[in-house]
Amino acid sequence: MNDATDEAVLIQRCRRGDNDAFGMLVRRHQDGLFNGIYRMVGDYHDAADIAQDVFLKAFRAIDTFRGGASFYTWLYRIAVNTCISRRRSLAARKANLHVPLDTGDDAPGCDPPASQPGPQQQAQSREDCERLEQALGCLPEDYRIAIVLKDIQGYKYAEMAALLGCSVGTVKSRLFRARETLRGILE
Amino acid sequence: MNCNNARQFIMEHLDGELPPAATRELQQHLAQCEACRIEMDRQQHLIGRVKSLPHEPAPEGFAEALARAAEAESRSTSRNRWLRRYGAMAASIAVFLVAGVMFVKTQSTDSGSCLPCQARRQGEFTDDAPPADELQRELEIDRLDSPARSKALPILPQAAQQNAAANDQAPQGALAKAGAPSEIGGKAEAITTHEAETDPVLGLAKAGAQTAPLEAEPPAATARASKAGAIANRELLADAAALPPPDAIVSAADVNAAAAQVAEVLGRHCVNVTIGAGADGSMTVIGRLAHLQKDAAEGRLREPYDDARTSVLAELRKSSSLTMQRAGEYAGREARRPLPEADAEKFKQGTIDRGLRGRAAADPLLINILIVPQPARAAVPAVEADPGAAVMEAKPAEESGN
Repeated sequence: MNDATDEAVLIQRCRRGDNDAFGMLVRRHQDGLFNGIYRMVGDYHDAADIAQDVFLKAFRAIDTFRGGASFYTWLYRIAVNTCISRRRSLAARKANLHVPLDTGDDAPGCDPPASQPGPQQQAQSREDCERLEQALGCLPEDYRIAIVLKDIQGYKYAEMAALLGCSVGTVKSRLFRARETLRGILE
Repeated sequence: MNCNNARQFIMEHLDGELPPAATRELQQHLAQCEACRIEMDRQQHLIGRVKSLPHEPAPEGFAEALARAAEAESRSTSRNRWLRRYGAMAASIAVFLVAGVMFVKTQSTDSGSCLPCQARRQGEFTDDAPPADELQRELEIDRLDSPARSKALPILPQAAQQNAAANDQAPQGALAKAGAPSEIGGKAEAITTHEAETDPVLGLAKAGAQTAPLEAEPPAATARASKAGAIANRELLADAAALPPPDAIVSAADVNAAAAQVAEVLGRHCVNVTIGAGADGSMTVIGRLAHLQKDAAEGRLREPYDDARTSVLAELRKSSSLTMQRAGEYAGREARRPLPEADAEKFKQGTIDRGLRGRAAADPLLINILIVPQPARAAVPAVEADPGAAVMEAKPAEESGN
């Protein structure tokens, strides 16, 4: 039984009220979903809260999942919507394109070190990542979501368009502007 | 390709989504344009940085916490489903019960015109509480065919109404409304099914029906209605048998107060009112609205029929519970009289609801309030001196023997 079939079986069991099946679906997707949410909202505790909310929403609405997209994509769509509504309701972290960030072109990236990094390397990498996270947090919400969907979740333009409910052209232009803006913040 | 186009193409190329033809075009441009090569390096660097952000796994114990939350929600959902399912069933049962009891009552009542209006015309309303024997006669005429039905419901002293109002904190029961006659047998619309939870013993129900020809009722629907009615009636009788004998004692003042409130609500809308006790050992019908349309047609209604009907229903929802509850206590002992055998058999068979359809064909609006009596309870002291109270309270043993 392959993963897709296995997942379909789990979903069917979940529809019949099998909480164990739901637990297995959660364990299968929790890390990917949590990471995506964390990158969208930028706060660990908010991300945990939203992730739980997303899974519970999915649990309640499992009967409406028709299998047109993958279950994970369906989950992620719920996650994006939840993040947007949550962020709007909190009115938090509004876009601020004037945050001075002391990073330059020569700032080292976050590429994982090839071998065991020394303490200094680790500290440098951590600092770079924090700057990048901070810059992501400064992006307007739709820009941030576009970058997370593409660069962290690895969705194709068409998938992003379906997730976000917009055209592929909009996705491209939004992503282009998002990266330009992010680069402007980092520079 | 110019540099502006190239920048967009670079992004799509780095994302792996640039078509081959466009990729070749881009490569030709990059070969000639150093600025765009630098731009591509910068974009690639940025994307690399974002992609290399550490992967944050879900917090430890996330799945377990979620499982607990889902389990709690599952229990809650199950409970809600149960409430929806059985709440609707309870409402349906209440409607069929009302239909059954209505038939019993319609066997012995005519379809005269608006009693309060008649009474007003005849000047029979007084400010005095009626003597007990008169009240008893009122109750009797509700069950028996009698020309005395033209006797009007008395309007009661303000004190009695205040007395009734003092009991306004009593829990409400289930309210259910039957729809148009074509719906009586088949389906019912619950008004406030949640109220059924407030008092599992004392349930109140009311049924409304508008005039429609009997032929409009499909035979299959009639059969279903009869079957459902029979089931509902049997269930109710079984429930009633399990109840202890009612021994609540109420004063005439209580009943009078109830009547006053009914009269106040219904009289304002010029609708027929009767107060009476039923019938089968478990319930009684104590109030009835009828002839609203007839009254409207005959110019006795002060407002358009639809407005009046809406207003009556709204008013009943707001104010009938007190009336019904107090009268229900009275019904507790009145209902000891057995249902006449023939009617009892009809009631058990569920065919009794056909009587309601027959009645509905004659009456534009029937609203009955069904009372399931409260279980045994201590005697309720007379709340105020009333000449009827002493008489009525002296008779429970005699009535219980019936």
